[in-house]
Amino acid sequence: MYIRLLVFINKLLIRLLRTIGRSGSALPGLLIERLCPNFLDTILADVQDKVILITGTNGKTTTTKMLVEGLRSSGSRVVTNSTGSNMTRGLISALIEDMTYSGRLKPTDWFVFEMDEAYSPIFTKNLKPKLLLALNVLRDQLDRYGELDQTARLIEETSMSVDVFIYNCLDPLLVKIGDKLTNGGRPCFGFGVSEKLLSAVLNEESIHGNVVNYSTPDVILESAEEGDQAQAISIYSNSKSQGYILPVKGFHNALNGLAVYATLKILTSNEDKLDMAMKGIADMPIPFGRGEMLNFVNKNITVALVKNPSGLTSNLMTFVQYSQPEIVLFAVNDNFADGRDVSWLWDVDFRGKIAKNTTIYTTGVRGYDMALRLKHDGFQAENIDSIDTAISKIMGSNSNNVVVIPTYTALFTVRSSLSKFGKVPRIW
Amino acid sequence: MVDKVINVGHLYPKQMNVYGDMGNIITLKYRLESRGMGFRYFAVDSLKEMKRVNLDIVIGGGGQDSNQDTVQSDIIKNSEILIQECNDGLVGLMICGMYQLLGNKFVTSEGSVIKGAGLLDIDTVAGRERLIGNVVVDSSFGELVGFENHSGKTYLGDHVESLGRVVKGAGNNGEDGTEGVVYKNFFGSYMHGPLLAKNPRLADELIKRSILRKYNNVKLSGLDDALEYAAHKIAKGRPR
Repeated sequence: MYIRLLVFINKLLIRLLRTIGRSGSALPGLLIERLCPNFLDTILADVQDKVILITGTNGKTTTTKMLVEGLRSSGSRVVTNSTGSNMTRGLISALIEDMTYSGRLKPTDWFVFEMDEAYSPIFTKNLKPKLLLALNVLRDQLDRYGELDQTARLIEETSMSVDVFIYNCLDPLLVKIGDKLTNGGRPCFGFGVSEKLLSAVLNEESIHGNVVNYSTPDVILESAEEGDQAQAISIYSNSKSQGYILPVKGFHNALNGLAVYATLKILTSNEDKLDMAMKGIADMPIPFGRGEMLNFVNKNITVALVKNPSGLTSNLMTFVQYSQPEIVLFAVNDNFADGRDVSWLWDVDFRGKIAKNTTIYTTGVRGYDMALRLKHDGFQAENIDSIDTAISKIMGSNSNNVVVIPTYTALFTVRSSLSKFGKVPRIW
Repeated sequence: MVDKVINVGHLYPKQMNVYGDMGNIITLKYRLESRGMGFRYFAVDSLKEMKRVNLDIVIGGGGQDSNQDTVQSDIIKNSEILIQECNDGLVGLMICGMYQLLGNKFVTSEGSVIKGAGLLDIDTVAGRERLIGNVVVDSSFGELVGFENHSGKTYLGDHVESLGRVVKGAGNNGEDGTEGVVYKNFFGSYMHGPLLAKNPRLADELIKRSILRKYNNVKLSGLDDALEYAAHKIAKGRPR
């Protein structure tokens, strides 16, 4: 009864916040988190076999979006934490949002949660989800978790609580976990890349270090071809090939699309439904800040969030090297959610990825660090102290094609500055 | 044609290369080439390879625990090569993991002792908490800023000096106020950042020492370090 009352009050609170124009994704969950620490355990106890977790250092939000889009377009009812707020508060908010005013869950097919690597073992302490999709363990916010090894340990701990573990066969740390689980007789499912595509990828990029399949994949990415705003991928599984369109670019997203396919394969045994789900992804709007395209009066602005060297490298290749925008703005903050340490900027090689005649600006708390990094790779960047001023300057220029590359907290400022010039979709 | 060339060796680049420590090498390259000097990069996967090329500066960085076993066994096997070079005046900068590995020993949380190269008179003990955050250090090479991220606590022996005194942060062990080490021309530190990028005076100190050793005379022209110091100043003011 207590919980139901809390839900009721919270739903009113969310409505109130909306009315006054506030929409912090984690804020409404705060009250419940404080007053009812076991809220998630209680609410999800009866539906834990419908819970799907997506974790990894890169691509969680985009992958979650794709999976949800796919499930929904094949007729499933899905609840998800769509804003990228992926710890207790974000999950509570997502659930309350969908619950009835009387504090009950509506009948739902799947609960798809993207989950912070460090938070997932806490979430699964008392809950046994259907499956865990582990995307990758790349350098991300190392100052928060200490080391990659530690991140892998957290994922391994979580994997022990789920029915099925789905993992990336290109990631040695995840393969180690998969091997261990397989040897223990637990169901695992791997996604990987064909030998032919591997060698092509190997020539073009080395963001994953030495790219090899560390174990034999159950579903295989055969090809990935980029168009202007989308890419076509081909997946080999059960001795046949299937082609799909993804609304997101970059090889990293081709892998994310494959991860979604692998997950759908576990969730449904019906081939037609799987196919319908995968085809539904093509129409998905791109998640905010993940290569999102905004079209204002005379400008195309791409906003591409970065958190770590591999993400920045792939974003540079996808949105800057390939598209050759006239202006690139790097907005680098070092708040807790960004990772306090900005050393990782030096793990990215910028040479050859930005055309020489590009206008480069840096901004954010650590804008000078970014400008200094670029200077060492031979690029001259102008640092502008405030993000708002930087956006105004760009919007006042004659340039049509702009790429903005912000860190996590800078993304929010960038979006709110941009909203003064045109419509920026609300986060939720 | 350049009249001076500095050979920079990168110790165990495959295993010991996290938190942007590569940036120390990028900084050296920039500061040498901007002055019309030559820079050559050598990946050193085993200390044995140091016999084949005359290095002027060696750089080492931090690494993942799981990567350090192979590195540690190579270091123990071939430490004499590095010690001899150091005694001969080779310039070195060792950050975090490599800093620890060049010491006498590392005592794990289970109490077992892992042997180090014995080049630096320092001992490291596994700590219970991870020391993470921005660091400001007062040193004889100017004020230094960086970012530490380590659980090992390092204590200096009698044969070495500290790199400086901690103004903000934990430093070597969070207890005695020291950060890093200086021994002959070798520098050790817990500071990522990367250390040399935002502390150009220290970068130039390494360059000066290496040129002096190789060419007997040294005069470095000034560079425009406005951006370096702007970034330095911001880093200094950031919360822990």
